[in-house]
Parts: sequence; structure tokens; C-alpha cells
Amino acid sequence: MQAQLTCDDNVAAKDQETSSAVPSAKEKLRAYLNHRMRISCDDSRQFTGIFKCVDNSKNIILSDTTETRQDSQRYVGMIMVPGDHIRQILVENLEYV
Amino acid sequence: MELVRWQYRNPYHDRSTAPTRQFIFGPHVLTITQQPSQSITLSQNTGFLVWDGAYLLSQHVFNHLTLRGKKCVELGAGSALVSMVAWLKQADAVATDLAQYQDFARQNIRANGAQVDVQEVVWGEALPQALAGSADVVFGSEILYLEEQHKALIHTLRGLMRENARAYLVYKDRGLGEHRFHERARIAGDTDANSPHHAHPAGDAELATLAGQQLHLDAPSYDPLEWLDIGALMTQATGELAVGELLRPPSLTYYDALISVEVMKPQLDMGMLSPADLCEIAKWDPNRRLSLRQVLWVVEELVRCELTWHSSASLLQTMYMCNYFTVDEAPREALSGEGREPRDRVLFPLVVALAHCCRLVWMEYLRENLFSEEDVHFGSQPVEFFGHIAREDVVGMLRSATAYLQDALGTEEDEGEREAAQVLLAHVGLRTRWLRVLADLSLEYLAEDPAALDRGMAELSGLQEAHAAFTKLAFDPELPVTVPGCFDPKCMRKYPSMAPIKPRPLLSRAETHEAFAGMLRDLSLLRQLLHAESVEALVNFLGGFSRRQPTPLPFVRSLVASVLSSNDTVLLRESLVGFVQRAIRETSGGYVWDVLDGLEGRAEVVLALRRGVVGSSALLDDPLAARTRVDGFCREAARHLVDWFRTMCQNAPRQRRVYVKYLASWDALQGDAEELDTWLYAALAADSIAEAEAEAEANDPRCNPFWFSSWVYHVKLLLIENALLGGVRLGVYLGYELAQVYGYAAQVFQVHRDHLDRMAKMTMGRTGQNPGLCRAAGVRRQEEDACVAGLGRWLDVVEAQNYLATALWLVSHACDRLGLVRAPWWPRRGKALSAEALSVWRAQEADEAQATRYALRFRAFSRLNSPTPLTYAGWTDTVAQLDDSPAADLVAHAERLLAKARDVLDRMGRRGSMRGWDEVHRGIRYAVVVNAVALAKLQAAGVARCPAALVPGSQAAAYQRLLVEADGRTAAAEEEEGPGREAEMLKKPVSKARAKRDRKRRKQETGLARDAAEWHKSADALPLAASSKCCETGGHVVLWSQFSFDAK
Repeated sequence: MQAQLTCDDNVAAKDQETSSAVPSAKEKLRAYLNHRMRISCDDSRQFTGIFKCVDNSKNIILSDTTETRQDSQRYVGMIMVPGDHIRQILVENLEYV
Repeated sequence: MELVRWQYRNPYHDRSTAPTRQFIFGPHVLTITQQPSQSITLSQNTGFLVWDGAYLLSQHVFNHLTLRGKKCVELGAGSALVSMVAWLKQADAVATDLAQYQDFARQNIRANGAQVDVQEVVWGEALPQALAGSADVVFGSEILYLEEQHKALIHTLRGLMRENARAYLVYKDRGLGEHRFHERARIAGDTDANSPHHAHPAGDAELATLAGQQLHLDAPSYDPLEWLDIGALMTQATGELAVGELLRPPSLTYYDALISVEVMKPQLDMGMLSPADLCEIAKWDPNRRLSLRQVLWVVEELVRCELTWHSSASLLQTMYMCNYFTVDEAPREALSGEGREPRDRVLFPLVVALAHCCRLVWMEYLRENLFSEEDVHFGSQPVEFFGHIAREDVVGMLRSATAYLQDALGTEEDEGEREAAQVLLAHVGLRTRWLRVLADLSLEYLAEDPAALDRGMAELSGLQEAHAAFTKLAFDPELPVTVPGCFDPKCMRKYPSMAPIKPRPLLSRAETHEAFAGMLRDLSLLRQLLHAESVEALVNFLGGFSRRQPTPLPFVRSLVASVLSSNDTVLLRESLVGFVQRAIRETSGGYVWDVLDGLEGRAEVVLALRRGVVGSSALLDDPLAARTRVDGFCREAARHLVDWFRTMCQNAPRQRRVYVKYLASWDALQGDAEELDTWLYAALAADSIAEAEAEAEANDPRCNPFWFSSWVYHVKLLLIENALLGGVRLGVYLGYELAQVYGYAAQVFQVHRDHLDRMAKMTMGRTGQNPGLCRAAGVRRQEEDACVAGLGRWLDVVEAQNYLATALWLVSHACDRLGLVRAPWWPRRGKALSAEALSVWRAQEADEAQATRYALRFRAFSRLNSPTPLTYAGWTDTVAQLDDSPAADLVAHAERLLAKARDVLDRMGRRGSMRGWDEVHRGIRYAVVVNAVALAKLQAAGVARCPAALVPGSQAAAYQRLLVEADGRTAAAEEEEGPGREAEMLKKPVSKARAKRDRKRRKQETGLARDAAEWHKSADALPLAASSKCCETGGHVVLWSQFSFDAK
């Protein structure tokens, strides 16, 4: 896999802070890195973990993840959710007051 | 003031020790530089990291408080994160902490461009003038963990707060008494509020009243209040990413990305349930009525699970799959015995008893004798195993099950049910016995009750018989009827685990019973172990134990390790140090010990010493110094020995890694021992000794008898021998290296023999003994004879092994020369390589590559001070001497050596009492006989007749080509004439003389085979011997399986 090592939290943060123009969707999404995310899968499971990584086919890596089914819950650690199976993506609201 | 108990998962937590961390508050980003390199404990340097509480409080401050223009003081600020957030909210913020953190706080404040004042505040002491009584809001995150500081903190809070001020303190309950702060604050408020002398009654009143309130603060909870759907953003953003580009923080490396578990991939994701799984789960009904045939199915499956667990699978992959096993509570009917149906009367008793068996095994595993490769662990989840039911009740339940089944045998009308009842009866019987065996052989029982071993062993042999009968009990495989939904192979999804565990196929029924029988056999070795009396016996036992095939199950190995050494005792009966002392005493005589005992606390001896009659100044100064040094040495030696013992109980991969490691430490111990000996000799010697021992001195240039170091050397040689032969078993050596290994082993055995000889002479001659001191201490020496007898026996053993090793060396060398030993990576001769290429290749192989391999192989041994293995040059020289004689001669000589070894063993057998030596004797004898048989087979296969075998090794290379060509022709001929020709050729001797020779050889061979068979029979007659047969062969038998010789 050819991947580009172009990401840097510092750069991202500065971009977010200083850019007056509308930031690109990528940069907007970058602000959500390391935030808690809840992903619903198409087999009715939910994964709640920390958003760590995404690639262009929407495969998402969550760390410190808890899996929730209707009745039960368990800790699953670091997981990769394939983009094909994702039904809904929720993230904790940064703006709420 | 509000105290908030909190529980929160900080999204930044995984970066808690990163050098820089960024915290996002709305549009603001605060960058905190941490100093994680400082050693951080609860009592020091806590300020150099941002604690979770600080982030939590900051979130709260940012999201919920209005602070514009208010004076905020943060106590214990550390990096001043909370103060900076307060500044973001336009407060007049002051961060306070101890002086050592001020620069750190200032640096972070400057880096973020914040305007926060930094002040030093020591709790309980006078406040800076500017702060006293000034604060509107006080923050404190995670500052309550030092309970002894609470009083001082309350004092400071009171000093800071002005009227109607509020304090926000956040703490994590670390069990250090944080919660008591609340109570203290209330009491302080009450008492001090009534005190007229206090300067700030208003602050006190605030403290007291707030403390009385129901505290409530809507802190961010685990579940954020609001979730934002970013599906659209995600789609848009991922569209902007190039193929292969990752959007990730620097903290997530590609490696992390790779190791993450992929959800929805069946191999990795145990939580994924297919419709078929869901359908299967839906069939589960705990209250289902079961027939006996169904019960039988469940029980059979559970037994398979049990043994699969025993052979290194985790509980989750095995027993926890059974829903009857994981029920929280066995049904009341089952416990009370009132039930009327098979489920309650038969299944649950068996399940509970099985759980109890597993529990006993589990207790053994908890002693942590095993290594992580043995994945018998469950994880962090506590294991219940129906532990609340007493063992007597379990046995009672089993008894009632037996009664029920016998009843069913009589009354049941269905034939299948009757047959199932029959098999279940056998199951109940086995389970009852196995439970009893496990209980009796558990460490607690063995340690406390001396009769437990015998009882357990009797029970064990009963169980072995019962199990043998059980395996013969044939029944129709259609008899057990499946219970739908009873086993849940994906049960992992119910339990917390770091990563889903791969399912593991269960052992088949045959494998299960084989494994169980093997376990019982291995367990019966415990008697032999507990009866071992000397260090030598233990080393030998463990050598054999570690070489056992198949490898004993983890439980047995763990139990052996526990029995060997637990709580500073060896074999549950004597202290480690005492054991080592006895071992030394048994090989070097009791002189030192008796003298030391005599010296201890006896004034007249000390007086005698003082009068200068005997002894030297070293003892005069401190009569107990010798005892202290000797004890210290013994402790050290015991520690090293136990390390070795425990290694031998670990699994093969672990052994392969570490087994030679301990040789180096034992080698170092020898240095200590020599030092101790020299010192002791000087300390115990007197002037008069020179005359008394003049004779001994004539034999030995230094009359120092090396009481300790000679024992250490003896054991070292023993360990080296075991390591070498263990390496053969572990497959460490390549085929052609066997000759080198056995060559070195022969050398070690020779050294060992000489050493034992020397030891015996020294002990017999009473070298180094001070008669004056013996007299003064009232010691009469009698032990030497027993000592010398023991050494003599051991000498025989070593001599026989020496012959054996030399014979094996010659044979493996001869075979190597004839190209009969094949390294696994050699291409098959004559097929992949042409004759020329092969000879070139072999020539290359003989040079640098082999020298390097030799050096690497014997690296661990060549670092020892003695015996030093030969260098490669020395080795080739030795081999060159062998090359003068034809391979046939070498093999013939090897046969003679084996005969010699048998003679030695016979002599040993004739020496009378074999107490304690039976096993060793029998093992070596077995190895000798088996190898003699193997050698005869090798001869019969025509090794000595091939042309290359009849010329000296120096000319063998020329014949090698001939051999290869002949081989090519044979192969071609074989293809034409088909198989079977080879056998015919063997049958059809070329000449009369050869026919005669062959007959003779075959006769000899059959004689040996008969001998071996007889030996087998006699060994089988003893139940103990049968079990230890493979164990005690000293690894020599294994040798032949390493050879692949061509039977031409």
C-alpha cells in the first residue's frame, strides 16, 4: 500500500484555528481525530471508540472500542470497521455548551 | 464547593505520556508540553503530566461555567491547563503549585499565549498577599489523593475563598481516601465556623453549607450528551483522500493500523454472527428436557473440551462454549437431588464435577509456572467453576447420579437409553476418580498430608485401569443425540477480551482419550519425583521429563514444577538450602559440616582455637563467619538449581531458548565456590595439618580438597550432559552436527569420569581435614565410606554413558562420512545434484561454513571456563585421526564400545543394593540395548559392505563418486524393475562366506532384538518402569530417529 505521510496534528490544529476561508472537508474531518465516535454496522452492532484513522474507502480505525449489541456490551480494543458495512457515523459534539 | 465523583474515558488518555498533547476546546487548541521522562509516582513529579481529571475539569469549565472577570485560582495546577481554559473564558486566572512546577507552568502558558499568573502556594502555609481571600472560584483537579494533605488543603481553601466563592474539585477514586475529604471539609467547616478567632467566617460558612447539600454537577459523562452525525462529512472527506492515503494522527503508526482487528471478517471478528449462528443461538433452551442419549452427547463434548483446554487452549475456546457450563447457578433440583429428569440428576452433577476438576487444575495454573505460550488462561475475568459448591456435595451428587443411572438401567424401556446409561455410568465413575486424584495430588494436600501421595497414586492407578476399560467400551457413534444450541462456539463475544480469539478445533474423541491416558501416565511420575533423593537423581529425572514424548501437558509440567520447589522447599519436604547442603555433604563428606556444627556456640572449641592449638586467625576473629559464608553459598547454589529445574518443566520452545543460559550462571557459581574453598581451607587448617596430611599432599600439589567447587563442577558436568542430549531431543542440531555433539558429549563424560575419580580419592584420603579441629569439635568421621560408594556408583553410570556417547560419535561420524546422515535441507542424493556438484558442495560445506556453524553451535559451551569444547581446528584434527580407519571399523568398534557399556552396567547391577539408582541404571541400560539393536540393523542394512565403508576415510571421497554413480544406476534399475528388488537383493547373498556372515549377523541381531524385547517385557512388568521407559533413556534413543540412513 502506497501511503503518504502527510498528516500532522500541529498543522491540522493551526489550519483549523487560523483558516478564515472555508476549510476543506478533509481538514474539517481531521479535527475529529481522537474524538469519540460511534459507528453502527449493518448487522445492528454499534462500536464506540476513539476515531483514529480513515482511508479513502471509508475504512475506519477506532481504538479503545466497546462493542454494543442490543443486550450486551464488550470491550474489543482496536478495530477496523470496513467502509462497506458502515450504516451510520456519529461523533461526540465538540461544540455543545 | 462541589465534589464530583467521576468516571470518564478521556479520548486523550492513550497519549497521556506523550511529550506534547493537544486539547481542543471549541475553536481553541491548547498545546501542553509534558515531561514524562521524569520518574512520576504518586509522591513525586505528578505535576509534569496532564491528568485525566484536569482535562475533565477543563471540559466542564469550558462548557458550563461563566467566568468573565472572575478571579479563578487553580490549586496544584501542574501544567495549568485548567487555568488556561479559565482564561479562555475570560477569567482572571491564577495557577498555583509548588515552586518546582512553576517554570513548567509558565512555559506552557507562554507557549499558548495565555495570560495566567503563576504563584507559589504551599498548602497549610501563609498565602501570598495578593491571593488571600480573593478567589471567586477555586479549581483543583486530582489533588485529593494525599490524604494527609487534606487538612492543609482545607486551610488553604478557606484562606483563598471570598464570600460566595465556589470550589470545583475533581478526583478519581484511587482508593487512597479521596472521598474522606468531603467529610473532613464538612467537619472543618462546622467546627471552625463556630470559632470566633477565624479570619474568614464567610468562607467557612460556605464550606459548611455546601458540604451539606446534595451535590450535583452535570459533568461530561461516558456517553456524551449529544452525538453529531458526520456521515455526509465523512463521505465528502474520504472522497478527497487519495487512494492509500490515511487520515490519521501521528500517534497512530502504520503498524497500529495493521494490527487492528477487522470487524466483519469471520476469521477475526468473533462478534460477528451469521444468520445461521443466530438461528442456532435461538435454539438454546436452558429448561429443555433431555434424554440420556442427549446427556451423553453433552458430556462427551465437554470431555473433549476439557482435554483440549489441557493441551493449551484457552477456556473461551473450550469449556465456556457449553451453555450448561456457563450458567450462573445450577438448578435447585440438581443441587438438592430432587430432580426427576436426566438433566438434573446426571448432566448437572457431571458438569459441576468437571468444573471442580478444572478448578483444581486452574489453581495449579495460578502458580504461574507456565509461560505465555501456553494459552490456558482466560484473561482477566474471574473464574467461578461452581466454586461455591463444596467438594463433598459434588461427590454426593455424583453418587446420586450413579444411583439414578443404575435405576434407569433396570427400568428404562428404550434400548438406546439403556446403552447411554451404561456409558454415562462409566463417565460418572471416571469423573469421581479423577476428582479424587486431582484433589489428592494438588499441592496443598501433598504438602500437608504425607499419605496423600500414596492415596493419590493408588487412586491414579485405579483411574488408569478404569480409563483403559472405558476406552475399550465401544458404542455406536449414532448413540449420542445432539442438543441444539447447547454449544456456542462464538461465546467469546460475551466476554471482555483485548482481541477476539480464534476458535480452535477440539481434539477428536480418540485424541482426547489418548491425551488423558498420557496425562495419567505423566502424573504417575510424581511418585518417582517425590522419591528422588539427590540432586543427581533430580537432574536426571527432569532431563528425562523434559525429553518425554509427547510433551507432558501443561498441568503436569506445572505440578512438577510446583512440587519441585514452592515456598522455598524442595520436593515438599526439605528446605532448599538444606537440600543443597545435603547434596554437597553426600559427595564431599561431612567434614566441613561437622566441624562447623561443632564450632557453633561451643566455648571450649573457641577456647581451643584461641590457645592456638588448631585453626587459624580467620576463625578466631569470628567463629560464625565460616557458617555464614557457607550458608550464603548454599542459598545461591539452590537458587541456580531451582532455575534450572523450572526450565526443564517448561515447554520445548522455551527450553530451546534458555536451556544453555543457566550453564553460564552455574559457571560463575563455580568461581565463587573455589574462592569459598580456598578461604575455608585457610580458615580450618592449622600448622599441624602439614604433617598429618603430608601423604595426601604428596599426591596433590595443593591439598585443598575443594569441598564445594568439586560438587559444583560435578553438577555442572551433569547439566552440560543434559543440555547436550536435550538439544538432540529439541532438534537443535542438524544431522551432520550430531557427530560433533556426541564427540563433545564423549569428551564431557570423560572429564566427568576423571573428576569423580579425583573426588573419590580426595574424600577417601581425607584430604584437607584437620584432625586437631575434629578432636576439638568432638567430630568422628564415618561418612566417607558412604560418600565414596555413592561416587563409585555414579562413576559407573558416567563410564557407561561415556562408552555410549563414544559409540554414537563413531557411528554418526561413519554415517556422516558415508553420506547416510542427511541434513534436512540437503537435496536427495543423486537426484537434485550431480556427483561433481555434490562433492564440490560438500567440500565447501567442510570449510568456512562448517567452522562458523561449529563456533555458533558450541558458543554457549565454549564460554564456560571448563570443560572447554574443542575449537573447530581441534575438532577437525580429532576427526582426521578417525579418518585413518574405514567406516566399517568404526562401526565395529562402536559395537564393542556398546558391549563394554553393558559390562559396566552389569557390574554396577552386581554391586548389590541399587537403592535410588534403579531408574538411572535402567534408563541407560535401555538406551544401550536399543542403540545396539539399531546398530545391528544398520549393519544388516549393509552399511559396512558398501565400498566406501571399507577404505580409510582419507580415501573415502574418491569412493563417494563411485557410490553416487552406483546409486544412480540402482535408482534407474529400480525404476525398471519396480520395488521389491531391494529386498530380494538383501535375501540373495553373493557368496557363501557372505551368506555365513549374514546369517551370523542376523542371529546376532535377533539375539539383540530378543534381548530388547525381554527387557521391554521386564520393564513393562513394573508399572513404574513402564511409565518411565521413554523418560529415562537419556535421549539416546531419540538419536536414531534423527538419522535417515539408506537401507541398501
